[in-house]
Amino acid sequence: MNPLWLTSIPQPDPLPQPAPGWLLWGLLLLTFFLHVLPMNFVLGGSIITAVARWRSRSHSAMHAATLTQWMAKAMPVAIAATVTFGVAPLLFLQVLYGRLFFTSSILMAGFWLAVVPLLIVAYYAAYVVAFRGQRHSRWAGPLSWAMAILFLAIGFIYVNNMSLMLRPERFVELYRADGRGLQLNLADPTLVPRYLHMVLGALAVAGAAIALHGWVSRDRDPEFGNWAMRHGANWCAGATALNLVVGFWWLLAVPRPALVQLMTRVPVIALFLGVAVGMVVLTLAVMTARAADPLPHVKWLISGILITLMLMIITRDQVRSASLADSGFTPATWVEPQWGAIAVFGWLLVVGLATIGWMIGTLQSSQQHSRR
Amino acid sequence: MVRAAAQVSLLASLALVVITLAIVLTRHLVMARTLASLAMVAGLLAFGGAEWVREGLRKPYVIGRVMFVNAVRMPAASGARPTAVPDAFTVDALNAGGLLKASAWTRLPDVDDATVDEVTYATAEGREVFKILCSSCHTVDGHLGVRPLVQGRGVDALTGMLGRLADPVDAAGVPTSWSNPAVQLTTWRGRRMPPFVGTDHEKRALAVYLAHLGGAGPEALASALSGGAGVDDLGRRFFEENCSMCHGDGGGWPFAGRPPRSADEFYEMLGKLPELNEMMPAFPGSDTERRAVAAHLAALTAGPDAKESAR
Ligand code: HEC
Ligand code: HEC
Repeated sequence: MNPLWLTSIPQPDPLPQPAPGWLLWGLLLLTFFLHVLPMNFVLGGSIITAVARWRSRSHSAMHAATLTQWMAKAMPVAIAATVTFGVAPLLFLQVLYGRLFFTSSILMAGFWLAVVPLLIVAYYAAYVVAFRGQRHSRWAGPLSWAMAILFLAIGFIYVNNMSLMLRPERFVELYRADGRGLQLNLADPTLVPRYLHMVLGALAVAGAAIALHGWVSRDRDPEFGNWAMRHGANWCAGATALNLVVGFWWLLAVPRPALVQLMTRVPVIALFLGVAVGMVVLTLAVMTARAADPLPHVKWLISGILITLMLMIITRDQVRSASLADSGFTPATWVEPQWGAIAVFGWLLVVGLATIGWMIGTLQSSQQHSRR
Repeated sequence: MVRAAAQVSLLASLALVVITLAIVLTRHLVMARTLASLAMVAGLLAFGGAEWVREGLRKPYVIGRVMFVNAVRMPAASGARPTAVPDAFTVDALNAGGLLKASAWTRLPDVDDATVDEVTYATAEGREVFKILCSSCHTVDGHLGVRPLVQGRGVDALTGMLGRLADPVDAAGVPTSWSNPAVQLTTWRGRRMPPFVGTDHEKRALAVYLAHLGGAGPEALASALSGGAGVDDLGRRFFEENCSMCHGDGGGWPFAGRPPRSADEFYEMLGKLPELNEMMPAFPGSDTERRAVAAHLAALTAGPDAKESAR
């Protein structure tokens, strides 16, 4: 079989892949997971912060103000982490699916490149809020909303590209209709549920991160700690409840043949496990939010959300490969592993992660020092 | 250019190390802002220079002797596995089957549209060929813009140039085939561009498009497209295609304005071009073409300008 669109995407590189497919795939999922953690904190956190700022105004709620202050300080770090951890999965995506991903990026080049200026503006806004938030508090509210909107826009662009690359059979048609690089994937029925699923997931994870922050700050300020755990769990519960519905919407929007492909694969277990653990997370989140003493529940909540996230990342990958298998796309099979290079990469990955851990530790302790 | 970029990169890397050490050693943060800014500039220069070198060294390939910057590949790339789908984007396949047919990414006017005349259609085809083959390096008006590069050039001269963007030679400089695994390139004026690939028709279309960018009017393009084949025209055309980049009005050594010589005299000279000047290759045509070019040169030097300067 040689579908017509195969001639529209670049042929496989006339070079072998430098590592076995399973390793590249494993690294893609691992590094994507590492990227999603700070990314969800940035995307969901910017929304939660904007809402909290708006609320703390009318209710003059002290805890909300403390929370927004911490979020404001954490945001620039989280943005930097998101970008840095985004590079690795982007590269693995290119190695495995570059022929599709480059083509879809070109079709929507105008929007895709717009991510950079949008991000720069949001990043500056984060710094202004973090360092001048007190002095120019008049601006902090509008700037927080602007950040939330910018990150939502960036996410929308990403979801467009990630879903457009699964539709190679539409590439040429889109290009013929308009070749200026201004195509989005709006006609795709999976686009809206997929985007909502990502945003709601980000809200749930950011909620869990706030709960974690509450847990950590409980020793210093028990009242705020308890409030933050409940507040985070509230967001987590609301977002997860909606997400269970939106997730099924997405699944049903996947074209029938691809859905059949997906459901007949063994790894689809991840989907069912993910839904099950998601329901547990929902229960735990409600319990945390309601409990007089949220502490006993909060670590289960955080573990649950991390497990759900991993399972859902596997599921997302399975949706991708099922859709592509249905289109007739086969990944490159010519592999000549360069174990030396892989070993260097693995070593650097470990050292890099250790360095980042050390940096976060240093940052944490310096913040605690400055507070005392 | 590459050498300069390498030097910049090296110096900037050294500067980066020195500045970073300075920042670490002066713990009291003397001039922290200035030093940090300098470190940033040095870092940008170091990376920018290194990237420039990397890009410069591999041109016109992205993978040496395997794939050009525009994704055109060598026939049956050495060491490559046979693919399930035969590679339609090799030099040989494209020369035989045509570029526009092999690429899905084209936007051409409807062939049956009566309002689209021959010149418009050829220009549109040429624009698509340019996009596929050349736009990985050239823009039209921006970076390495092609419009100023083709200013005032005619279709024939451009066709000739396109035929010589890159030729495959072996280590000794003798012409060889693209499938020679040790192939080297002699490129047009050492510009390190990839070869033109595609049919003669597509080459002509690209030349029409470039001449159009260079300011040629529709009549000139139309007459070039329908170009007659009289002896007189043969000489002019051959000269345009093969010699005008050096000897045309825009070249460094124009013929117009030289003391007149007879066609026979020129015919003799054309037999020993490399002896006349080492920049010139041997006359690349048949005897008929040699005669026709000689006649054309005689006519050129006998032009009104020539008479005037001879006085
Ligand atoms: C590998 C990059 C690359 C590609 C691909 C490329 N060019 Fe060039 N081209 C150059 C460079 C570099 C120059 C030198 C520009 C200068 O001197 O200002 C150049 C010069 C030229 C010139 C001026 C030549 C002269 O000597 O006056 C023309 C005309 C031109 N290119 C046309 C084309 C066309 C047509 C194509 C597609 C078939 C093409 N180029 C593809 C890099 C490229
Ligand atoms: C790479 C540039 C270049 C190309 C291409 C080229 N020439 Fe020349 N040619 C020169 C140079 C340089 C000279 C010596 C300087 C001069 O005569 O102006 C020269 C000299 C000549 C002369 C001697 C002129 C004289 O009065 O002594 C003739 C005849 C000539 N070329 C014909 C041709 C023909 C015919 C072609 C095409 C088949 C051609 N050249 C292609 C660069 C070139």
